[in-house]
Amino acid sequence: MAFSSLIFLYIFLPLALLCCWLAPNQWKNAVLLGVSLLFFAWGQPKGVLLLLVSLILNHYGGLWLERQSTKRSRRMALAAGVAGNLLLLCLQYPAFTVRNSPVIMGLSLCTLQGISYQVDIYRREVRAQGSFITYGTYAAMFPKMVAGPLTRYGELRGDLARQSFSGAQAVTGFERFIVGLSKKVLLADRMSELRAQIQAASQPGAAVAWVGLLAFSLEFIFTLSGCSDMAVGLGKMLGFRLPENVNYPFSALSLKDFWQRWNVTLFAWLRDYIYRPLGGSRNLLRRIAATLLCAVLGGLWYGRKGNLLLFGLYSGLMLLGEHFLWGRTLEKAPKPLRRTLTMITVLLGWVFFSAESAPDAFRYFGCLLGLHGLEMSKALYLVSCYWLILLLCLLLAGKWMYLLLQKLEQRFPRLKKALSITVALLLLCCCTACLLSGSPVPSWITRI
Amino acid sequence: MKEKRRPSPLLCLLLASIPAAVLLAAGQTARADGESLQLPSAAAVADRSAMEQTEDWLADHFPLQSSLTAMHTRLELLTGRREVDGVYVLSDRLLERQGTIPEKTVSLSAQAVSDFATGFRGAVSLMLVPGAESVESDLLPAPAAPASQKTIIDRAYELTAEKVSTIDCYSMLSADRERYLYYRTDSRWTSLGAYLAYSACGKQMGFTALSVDRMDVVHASHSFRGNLCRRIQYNGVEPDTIDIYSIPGDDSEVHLQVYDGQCWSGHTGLYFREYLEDDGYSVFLGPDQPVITIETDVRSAPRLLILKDSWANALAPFLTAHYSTITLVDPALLRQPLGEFIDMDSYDQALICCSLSSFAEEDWAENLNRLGS
Repeated sequence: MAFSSLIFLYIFLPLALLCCWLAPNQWKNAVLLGVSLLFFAWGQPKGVLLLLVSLILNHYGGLWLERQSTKRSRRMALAAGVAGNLLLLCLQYPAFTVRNSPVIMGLSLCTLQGISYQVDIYRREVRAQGSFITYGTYAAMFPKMVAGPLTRYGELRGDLARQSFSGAQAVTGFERFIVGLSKKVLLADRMSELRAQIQAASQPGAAVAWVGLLAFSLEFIFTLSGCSDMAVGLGKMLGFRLPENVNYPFSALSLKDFWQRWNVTLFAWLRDYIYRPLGGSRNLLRRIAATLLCAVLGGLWYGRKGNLLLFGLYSGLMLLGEHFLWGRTLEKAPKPLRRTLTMITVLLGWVFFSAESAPDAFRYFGCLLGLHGLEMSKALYLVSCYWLILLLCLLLAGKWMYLLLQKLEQRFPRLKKALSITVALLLLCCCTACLLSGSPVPSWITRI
Repeated sequence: MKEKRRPSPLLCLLLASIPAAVLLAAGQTARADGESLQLPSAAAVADRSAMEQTEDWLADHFPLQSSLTAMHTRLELLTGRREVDGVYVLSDRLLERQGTIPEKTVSLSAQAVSDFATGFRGAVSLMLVPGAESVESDLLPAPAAPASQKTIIDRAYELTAEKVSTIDCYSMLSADRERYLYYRTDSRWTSLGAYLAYSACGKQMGFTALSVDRMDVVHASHSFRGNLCRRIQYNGVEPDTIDIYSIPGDDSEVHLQVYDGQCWSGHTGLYFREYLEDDGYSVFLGPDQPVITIETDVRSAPRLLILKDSWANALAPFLTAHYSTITLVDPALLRQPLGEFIDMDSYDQALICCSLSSFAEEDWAENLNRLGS
């Protein structure tokens, strides 16, 4: 089930909130788990079995790992747990050659959380959770099943033990959810339409191709950011403090900065569970290998296609280039220039990301270079059809709006409170109107 | 301050009332239009189609659906869009965006037409009707103008040329594109557009089309708001006029037998004026039905079978002057083989008449093959 659907907004969510809020304290986790399984089963009933396998594997694997006393047996238990999770991941991503194979939304997230849970127990950073229900609630709670955030068990342990209802938190959560919904439905979906129109032309001219690339980047970031906001908002309504997943990536001053901002929890996971264990900061060779591996895995996280592998490789090489070659020179440049150069590097990488396949990506590079003409009049026409949405996206991509709202809250707290709920209801109305004609779910979301 | 651990009863009531209100209101709308949500089968649940159908059903029957759709259209226009849900909103009319017509499905449909013609004992004609977007493409801004549908129609005609005779409707409509050939608020042609197509049919099918000068034109409605208006709930363009052409002094009686998928019913006359207020286009032969048989007074004339979409409903009244029996079959609506309803061998001619966009739909070829099986 997608958050941006009428069924979720008007049937599932009110009932789920009601069940979770009214449940007695000792039943809260069980109710949330049940509701989450229902959410997961909607549209992918067979996937529930795989999800349950993942939950059982990690819960009992964690308990078994904790019981091991010798270093060798702990290592063996960890290896078994990680291997089990990787096997589940392979079921999710059968092969590079299998096209249109069924994918189960949210299962990859559960798998990575399972691996981090096992490793954290191995490192003695957390104690294994004794209750299957509590572990299941942590791993499969529905707010984070659509595009994350990826959470560690340690982050939610406190909230899992004490979920209390707070009216103020519920209102703040609702407002945050609506902000995310609006980003997805009112901005990202419009950009998706613009991109689809451009992609429908087999060989767009250079100007049109650049507009298409800009539309894709805005669609991608606002979808991810919208999903993150919705997850954080839902979490607040249910009494959980979920981490932020997107941190104004268009404000990034370098590629490394960008990678730390556009999917915060995924790259923190890659850093803590792959980059550092591989000794990425120890010597040159290891740094190169670990950076490339993390970037490639970061790309493959969004799908098992060749173009995403190339996206990872491109990003890895650019990150290494920035670190070893042009990073210091770039630091001396003025901020606007640094932002512009970073965005150009990112946009070029997204050519690989947005394409259907690797050859398509190279063909699109040809279009960007003007191999099929310029088509300036068409580009201007398309921009004129979406000018307000493009402008809003560019304005909201920066941090200034957030800072403005913060100042407003400090100076006029009551006005801000009244405005927030009114604007949220108005935005909900607009989103509902748009949702009647559907809201596309990008294919990369279904693969996470 | 003490933390409140439970939500207030008022909040709970509000939350519970949201799904209840939505489902109750949707259920009422469903009953009003005779449609109700069926429980999905186990197979449908497994292959996700049940969920998609439920979501579509809810969107179609959502409370205040029309007002919300109108709001959506206004929002889109406000942001600079000129096209909403596949409809171009121009200053004085609406135009359906048909987009890129896939050549692959056109080839498959052409093959199905050839197969049908092989099995039919009489002469078969094919008439593919271009959309207003293509014929009147000069109304759109140059960058939005689509590729001409003429090339695709010619390609389909080439593929079927050996088995069927083809009717060039495109040239006829293009030559007169300044006239009122397509409705401003509907995706289909006006009676005048249908008349031009009828004239083109005469040349290929062996009858002499009646001159328009010999006909009376009755303005049946001046307030027709067509399917494009309804799709985006936009009333910012002038409503259309529905014209009915008739021959003065012609008092011949026409009888209709209509099969609605379950049973047959009889009607007298070609026009259903009771639909003028609701869906005006249904004035021609009534709402879309799987099979409609027209019996005319022209006893000695040949019998005609028409495989069609709703576009042919406005054309059929012109043909009644030349055929004793006309049977119209909509392949998209008839689920059984045609042989179960009619004796195909009793027909002298067949006309396949539909819009190019219907012809290019993925299931057109499959539907036609099923009819002939």
